[in-house]
This record gives sequence, structure tokens and C-alpha cells, in this order.
Amino acid sequence: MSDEHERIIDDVVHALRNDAPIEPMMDERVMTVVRGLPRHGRRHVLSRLTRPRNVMVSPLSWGLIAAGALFFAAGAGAMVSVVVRARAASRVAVADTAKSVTFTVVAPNATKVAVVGSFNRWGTLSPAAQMKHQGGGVWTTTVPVHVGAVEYSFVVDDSLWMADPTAPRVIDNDFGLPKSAIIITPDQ
Amino acid sequence: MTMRARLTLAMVTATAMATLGSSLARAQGLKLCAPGDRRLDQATCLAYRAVLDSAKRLKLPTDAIEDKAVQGVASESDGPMIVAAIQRLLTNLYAAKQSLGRNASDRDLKAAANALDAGATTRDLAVLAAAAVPRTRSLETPLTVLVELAAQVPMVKVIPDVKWMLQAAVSDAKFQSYQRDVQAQIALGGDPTIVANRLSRAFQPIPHH
Repeated sequence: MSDEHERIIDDVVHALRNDAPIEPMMDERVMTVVRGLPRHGRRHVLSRLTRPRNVMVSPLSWGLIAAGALFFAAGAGAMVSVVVRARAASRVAVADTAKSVTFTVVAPNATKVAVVGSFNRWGTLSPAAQMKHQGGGVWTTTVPVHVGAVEYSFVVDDSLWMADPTAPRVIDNDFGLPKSAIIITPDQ
Repeated sequence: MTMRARLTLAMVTATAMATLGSSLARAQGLKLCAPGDRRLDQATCLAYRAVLDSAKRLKLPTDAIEDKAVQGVASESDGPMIVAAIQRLLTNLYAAKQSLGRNASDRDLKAAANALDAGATTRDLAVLAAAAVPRTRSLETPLTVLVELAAQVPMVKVIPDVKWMLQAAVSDAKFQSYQRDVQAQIALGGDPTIVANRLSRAFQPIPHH
């Protein structure tokens, strides 16, 4: 390298090491330009969130994500269970206001009689539905019935449905079932 | 995404869906169509679920729908008949809510739906609801008595009697007593319409001259 080149390099280094002269209005001009720039808005955030990108996930992270999802599912299941239990509790509360009602029917030739209604989901299989023969063809049973209007029927020998002859009948336009209706009041 | 990661994700999703699905099914009270329950066929179950879902969205009592479907099963009715019955009940419950107002209780709605099924009109229900004194009283007993009387007395004849009694703030106990007296006199050979009307006059307001 020649002496001429060495001298030029020294001049440049010397010039760069000197403080650059700044105009008196420099700060103000820069700040004016900065203030004029658009602010970061939601659109920038949205675009950053929606912009597709490649993400590297380690096997450990996958495990953590799986555990989190399971935890969420278990939590959601537990919440639904709580709702179900709360509803069941309200049903229990209704049952607490239930009254014991004795049903009686005369069926001299029957070998088996059951009372069915909304109080036992119209099922003859529940033990309370089965009526006991008291002799002389008289069958009775006492079951808890919720307060309010109650529809019911008697089922003789698992086949013959009959309304209670001592209670008001209800016309069943849907299935043609002979049904009776009674109103259970809290003071009964 | 690696194969292992995909498998893990699929397993997690399946577990979550199964947990939520079974919980929701229990929450909706789909006892008739629970897995393994063969009392209703698939098509009937679909219709049953749809009706239950509609009732839930319309804030109508779903237990009334369930009860009606169970009655159909107990009476060994076929699927289409059960579907028709629960659809009719849904319609009646909705009409009852329109007539009685949004604040009507579930019991009132069920009684009103039964009244519609027995031949009352939505206008009849609105008239009875408007006649009730106090306005907040439960209509369950009056409407149940109405339905019971309608089995023997034409609905058109018995509506005015029940309306007078509601205007006179007759108690539920007196409604029941009235119903028993009507039944007793009918059993003794009285004309149902005349008996119902005559006995209801005891509750009519005395005209001032």
C-alpha cells in the first residue's frame, strides 16, 4: 500500500473521529417528523396475530398443551356436572314438598295392579307402583306425589289401563289412555 | 407437525368431546334416548331430541315433553304417534306462553297446554289470565278444573263459569270443591252444563241496582 493511500485513510479516520456539526433546529425537526408518523393501532396488532408463521414446538410443549386441554375438558365436565347436580337438587326440593297419597281401586279379578303417573315416570316396574291386595278385590298403595296437578292411571295385570272411577277423568287425545287427574295442594 | 403430535392432538380432542358430549347429554335429560336404551327407535329419538331442544330454546318446560314421550312408550305407542304427541304439546306450550305471558310458571304452562288440548283457545286463555284476581295468582288449579269439567261439559259453556270464579278471586280449594260438587251432581243425574253453571253462580258478583 502506498504512502498516498495511508495518508487518505488517516484523513478519513480523523474526519470520522471528529464530532459532526449539528444544526441548532435538528432536534425540533426530528421530533416534528416523528410526531407526524402514524401511531401503532389495532390493525397492526391484528395483522401481527393473523400473519401466518412457522412455529417450532418441542415434544415437551406438546405434552403441556395436551395436559392443558385435558384439564379444560375436565373443568368443563365438572361445571356441567355441577349444573346437573343443581337441577337434581331442585328436583329433591320439589320432592320435599311432595305429599303421600294413597291410591285405591277395586279390581276383584286382578292378580296384579299398579298405579302409574308422572310421579313414577309411568313405569309399572317401580316398587311403589305395585299396589297391595287388601282383600275383597281392593288394592291400595301410598306413594309420594308432588304438589300440583297430577295425572295417573291404573294398570291391571300389566295390560289393562283404567282411569280412577272415583276421580275426574282427563281426555287423552294423544295415546287414548284412560287417565284421571287430581290436584295435590300443600295443605292436604 | 409430526405423526406423534397429530395422534396426541386427536386423542386429546376425542377425550374432550366425549367428556363434554356425555355431560351435555345428561344435562339435557335425554333419558329415553340414552346410549343402550332401545325404547325409542333412531328416527323417533332424533325427533324427540329436536323437540326437547326447541322447548329449551323457547324456555318451555322440557319435563312436560319428557313425560309425554314416556307416556307414549308406556302405552306402547309407535314412534310417529309419539312424535306427533310431543310436537303438539310443544305447540300448545308455546301458544300457552304467548297467551299467559312470559312470566307464567311451568305449572301454569302445562295446565294451559292441557286446556288447549281439551278444546280451549288461546283467546280463552288470555281472557282467563286477564280475569284472574290477583293477576299474579297461579292458574294451575283453575285450568286443571277447567280441563276436568271439559270432559263432560262443552268448553264454551264452562269458560265463562271459570272466568267469573277467577274474577271473584275464588281460592284453589274452592275451585276443587266446585269441581267435586259438579261431579257429584252429574253422578246423581244432573245435566252437566246446567249443574256447572248453577254452582258457579255462587261466585258471581251480585249486580247492584
